[in-house]
Amino acid sequence: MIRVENLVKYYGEYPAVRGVSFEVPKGRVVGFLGPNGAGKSTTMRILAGFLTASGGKASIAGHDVFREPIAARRNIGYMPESCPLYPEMRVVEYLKFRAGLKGLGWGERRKRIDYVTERCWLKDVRTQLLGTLSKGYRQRVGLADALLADPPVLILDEPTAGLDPTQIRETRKLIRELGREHTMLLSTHILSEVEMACDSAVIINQGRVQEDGTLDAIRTKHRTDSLEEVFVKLTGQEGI
Amino acid sequence: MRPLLALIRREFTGYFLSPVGYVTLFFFLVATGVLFAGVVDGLTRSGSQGVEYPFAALFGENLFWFVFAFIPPLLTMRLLAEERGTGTLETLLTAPIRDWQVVAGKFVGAVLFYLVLWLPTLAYLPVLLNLEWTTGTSGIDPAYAWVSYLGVFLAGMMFLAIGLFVSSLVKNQLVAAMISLAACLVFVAVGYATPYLDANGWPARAVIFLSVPDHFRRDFTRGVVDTRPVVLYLSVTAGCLYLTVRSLEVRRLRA
Amino acid sequence: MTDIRHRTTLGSTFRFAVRLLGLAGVLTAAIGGLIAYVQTDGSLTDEAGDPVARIGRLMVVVGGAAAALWVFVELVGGLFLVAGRKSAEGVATGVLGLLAVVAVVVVNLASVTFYTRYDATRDRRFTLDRELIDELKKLDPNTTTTVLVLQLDKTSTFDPDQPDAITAAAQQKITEKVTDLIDELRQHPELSARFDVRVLSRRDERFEEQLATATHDKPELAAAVQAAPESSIFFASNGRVRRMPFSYFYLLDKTASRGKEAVGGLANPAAANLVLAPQGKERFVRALVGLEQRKPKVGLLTIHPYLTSQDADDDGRAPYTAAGLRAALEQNGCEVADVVLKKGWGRGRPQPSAGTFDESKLEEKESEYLGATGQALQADLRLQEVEAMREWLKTAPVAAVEQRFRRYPRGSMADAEYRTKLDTVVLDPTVRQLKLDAEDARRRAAEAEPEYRQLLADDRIQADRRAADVTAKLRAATADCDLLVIPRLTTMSLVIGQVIPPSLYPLAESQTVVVKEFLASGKPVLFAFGPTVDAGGFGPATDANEILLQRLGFELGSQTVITTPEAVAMTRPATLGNRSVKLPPLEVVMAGNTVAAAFDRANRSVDGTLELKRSGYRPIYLAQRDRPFTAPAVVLQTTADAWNESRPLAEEADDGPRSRSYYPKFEAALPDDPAKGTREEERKQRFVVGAAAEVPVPAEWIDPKAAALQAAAVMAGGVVGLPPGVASAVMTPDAFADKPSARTARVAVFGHGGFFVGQKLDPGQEALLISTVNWQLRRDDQLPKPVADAEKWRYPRVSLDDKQRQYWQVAGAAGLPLLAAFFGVVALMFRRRR
Repeated sequence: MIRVENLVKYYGEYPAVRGVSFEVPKGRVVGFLGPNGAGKSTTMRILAGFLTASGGKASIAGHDVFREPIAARRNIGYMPESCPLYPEMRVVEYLKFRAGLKGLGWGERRKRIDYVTERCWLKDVRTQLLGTLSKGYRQRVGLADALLADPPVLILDEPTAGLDPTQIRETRKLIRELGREHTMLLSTHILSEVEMACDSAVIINQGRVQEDGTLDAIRTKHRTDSLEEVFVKLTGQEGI
Repeated sequence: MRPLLALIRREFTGYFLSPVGYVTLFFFLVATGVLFAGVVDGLTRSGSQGVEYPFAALFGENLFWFVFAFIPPLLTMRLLAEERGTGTLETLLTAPIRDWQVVAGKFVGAVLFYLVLWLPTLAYLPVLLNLEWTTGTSGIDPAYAWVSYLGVFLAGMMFLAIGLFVSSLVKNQLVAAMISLAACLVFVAVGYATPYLDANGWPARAVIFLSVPDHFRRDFTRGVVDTRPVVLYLSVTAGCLYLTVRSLEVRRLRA
Repeated sequence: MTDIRHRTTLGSTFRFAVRLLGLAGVLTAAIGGLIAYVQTDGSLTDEAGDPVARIGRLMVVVGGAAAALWVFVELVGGLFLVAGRKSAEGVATGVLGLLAVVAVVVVNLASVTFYTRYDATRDRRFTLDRELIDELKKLDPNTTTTVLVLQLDKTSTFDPDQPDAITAAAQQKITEKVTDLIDELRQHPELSARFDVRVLSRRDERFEEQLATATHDKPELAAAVQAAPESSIFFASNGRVRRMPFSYFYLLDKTASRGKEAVGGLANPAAANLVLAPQGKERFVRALVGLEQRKPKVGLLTIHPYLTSQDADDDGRAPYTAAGLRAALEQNGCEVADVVLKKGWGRGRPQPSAGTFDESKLEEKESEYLGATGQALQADLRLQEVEAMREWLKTAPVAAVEQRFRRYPRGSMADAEYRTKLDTVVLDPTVRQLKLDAEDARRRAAEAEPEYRQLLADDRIQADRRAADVTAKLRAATADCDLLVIPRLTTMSLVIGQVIPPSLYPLAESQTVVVKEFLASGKPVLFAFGPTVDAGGFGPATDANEILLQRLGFELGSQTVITTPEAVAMTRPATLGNRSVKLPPLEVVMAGNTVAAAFDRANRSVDGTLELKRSGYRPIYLAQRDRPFTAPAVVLQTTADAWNESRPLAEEADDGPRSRSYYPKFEAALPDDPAKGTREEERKQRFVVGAAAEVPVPAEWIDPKAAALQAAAVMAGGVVGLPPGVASAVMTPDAFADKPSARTARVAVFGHGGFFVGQKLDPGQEALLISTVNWQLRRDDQLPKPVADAEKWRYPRVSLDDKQRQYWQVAGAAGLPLLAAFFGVVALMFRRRR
């Protein structure tokens, strides 16, 4: 579903991503691991269509993100790291707007909104202004937005950042559920999350892919049970 | 098409959800209302003073345009700058909507609110046109009205397009507002140079070409449609919108 | 392990350096450019080599090079150094963006060249009609006509020097509208190239230099601008200048502006507005197109140099001169030529002549010089005589001396004493006196000599003088005139008895025949004949001109119209100030006469302040026997408070205590008065004192056969005893009465010779003169156009009563905004509820 070949991205002089290649087959839930500033967000943004790569190729469900951007984006549900929302809109209004942007017709809009508000536990706050929501709820709205058009691919950037333990648990549960129906790529630097929710992992450091494969395969390869060991070894950081 | 319409709808209603729209509307109506009161005075007094072109007294004055130049920047400053600042541009640009649709949606939303801004001024027409209630005929040539409104619409589009473009370049709303204000004021302030210029030379002609208050004073408020200002407004609007689309593209390349 | 991506490369340092250099270069170039601009006053190149300017230019060059280097490095870097999509895309976007800007500029440059203006107004008042444009296009495309709009404080010569509110508002409005009209011309895509349009205002501090620039190759235009008395548009092309005052385009109707229907009516303050009568854009076009036509020439026929239109160089002549007429006509675009009809003033009886002013000046100087020389000579001769006598006195025998000087008896004086006394008391003073006389005469001769010699040396004047045939000379002088003006100033003030004897005026037959021919050719004549009240008989007071007028239908009465205030003033003793009199102004008769209507329109523009008043009029009787005038002819009439008096001058009695002074007084005719029932009967009524009509030229003036018949009729009439005029009128065969000649002449007759006399004409006189002259010259398009009330321009008014107006104003200024604020607050509140 997701194919990345030799992706390069320069911010001016600074090479954020230097030749990243990996593949996410259909139905897999892949954890995108790496330290801060490794190039995770950049790669995801390129996949989602927010940035244009300086070099290389990326495609979603066979559509090149640069040459067929609309087709590629139709297949993606993207949730950015900061969960940006319009504070003056109500939850439902926002979802209606996003549904329109994603090309859903009127009737379908209502159905899908009902579905995602149900799924993401937003029923209580349907008519609340987005500016008044807590962080957890905002995260859920972001997730609901990503699910709105029922896309085959979900790309989530740090979905549990800043949540309290209860919320984290709920979110992880949701992710596991969704993983059964969608192909997912989620980025995080929390290793336990990857172990709990994902099938495979891609470890990225300093703009390059260090490791790519199923969790078992990685563990076996590095002869350790702890993903943390692997991570530390690959990224060369002393004590997180 | 659907994404474009959804965006237009959101942008347009967005003006009503925050105080900016209402504050702008209030001050705009105060300014036009005061000018209107003055024109009514001129139309109803007796004696050797009066107002020959009612709309010229409203739109032909440099002062009106000085005040008015503040409005498009206020309306457009948030369009792209705010989205970049809060990060919502990311969710917008990752939706299946083309860049030109994004620009068009925001522009049309702004233009629609601009029209709403002007709607209440239609209430002045019965007096400004000396309308006869029973027969519906106007004592004053209605061409003055509709040509003036046409001019206001086109000139407004130009200012809004400039504001949108500037908004796409900067992150800070206030900076966007100030820069677009400066750009809009160029079109208004050049008129002040006319007394100092030789009327036959090319600098004078360039000034008259650019000076929006002069367009209104000489042409639009007298019911004359001169193609030169119309082409200016439309071409600058088109140019700015095009540049805005290109600017979004460049954003993607550099982030 | 540190992130190697963060290391700064050599490339990035280099790029930063280049960018810094480039920006610094741009800044340097900008500053240098400014310096060079300021130093060289606008031009950026300067051969003189001002050092500061040189530095500036250097900065521009160096800065420009640095910026160019920067651009080059960026491009190269973009294309080669950083490979991949980003560079290609980036450059492409940049180029496209630049192209967009260029496209916008190009589109606008094109639109400025090819543009059109669509006038959506109902009455299309902002477009010049197609026909007018076509006419304008007929003008020679190779010459550029200069159209100069001059804004002064007065938009009309009738404006008072201190304008009131209405006049000031009108001036501003008219100036605006005329400037708009000119703007239309400027804006018109097809016409703008042919006209060099400039707008100048005397209030502008740069007026002088703007004028110099505009008229650097047109000195006649500069002169015309300096002489303009009111705001005007000047058209200049090929050495010709034409002036059109603003009032030709929009004439203020002050009467209507005050809410009055007519001059002197009641003012309706509610209807007060600013009313302008638009005179039509066609005038403007006609003026442009008619620039090539020559100026009409007006011939002024007077009998004495003092009465001509040359400037009076001493105040004594000011009451008689027609200089004001010249000034007014020249401002009106006419030429004025003087013809002096009598010469030999001061040397006995004046002779008929047809001299120019210069000729009569020569006469005058000659007379002065020769007279003075003669006197000097005479004094010298007498001096010689007296000297001789002195000599003789010394040696002559006493008896002879006593005999000679009988008047001075010797008495008891001694011989020597007697001789000495005679010498000192009688001869010496005489000698001294004679010497003084001679000196005085010589001085006068010396004063007159240089000018006399100068005039004598002028060949032209000599040639004129030699022409002896008065008729031929007069014909030649008037051949190229388009209008003749013949004023006869007689009564200047009845109250103080200032009168010029009318018997000075009659012309010889040789001269009248030329006037007749002039009329017969269809050209107009303006007669201003004063009353024939005579105080002293030098001969007949009337001449054949009056017979001409009679034939045309204008009969001049032989009495004088005097008004009651004048008669009253005459009875007051002649002490200082007591003889002042307020003359009642004449009434302009609005019965359809074109000249009267034009005067009235001018009068409306100042709401009735134009006044015509003179002392002592000649009544004009319009004879409508043969055929009535085709249009109403009466222009001016007196008030009802006037009567026709045969003895209008007071006669102070000074011989004997029994004699009584005579003062004119109105006395209704008694039943036995022979004059009763005739025209001469004294009656108090309105008298016509000004008339203008287009009359058919009598057939016999053109056709010689008819003339012969007419002459026969006159002779017959003379035999029978009827006055010639009556006889010829009565005896005209019906055949001729029914077949008038096809030719017509526009004749104006005024019953006072002083209407156009004065160093400077007052507004009323000027209005009358210009209206009459323009009509007579068939320049009807220059007369104020009659404009129907509905066509007049006014400020649009909305009828709201006071309360309604206030409601509207409050609603606009406060109501709507508050409503908007209310809705805003409600909407936001609505949103904010959780």
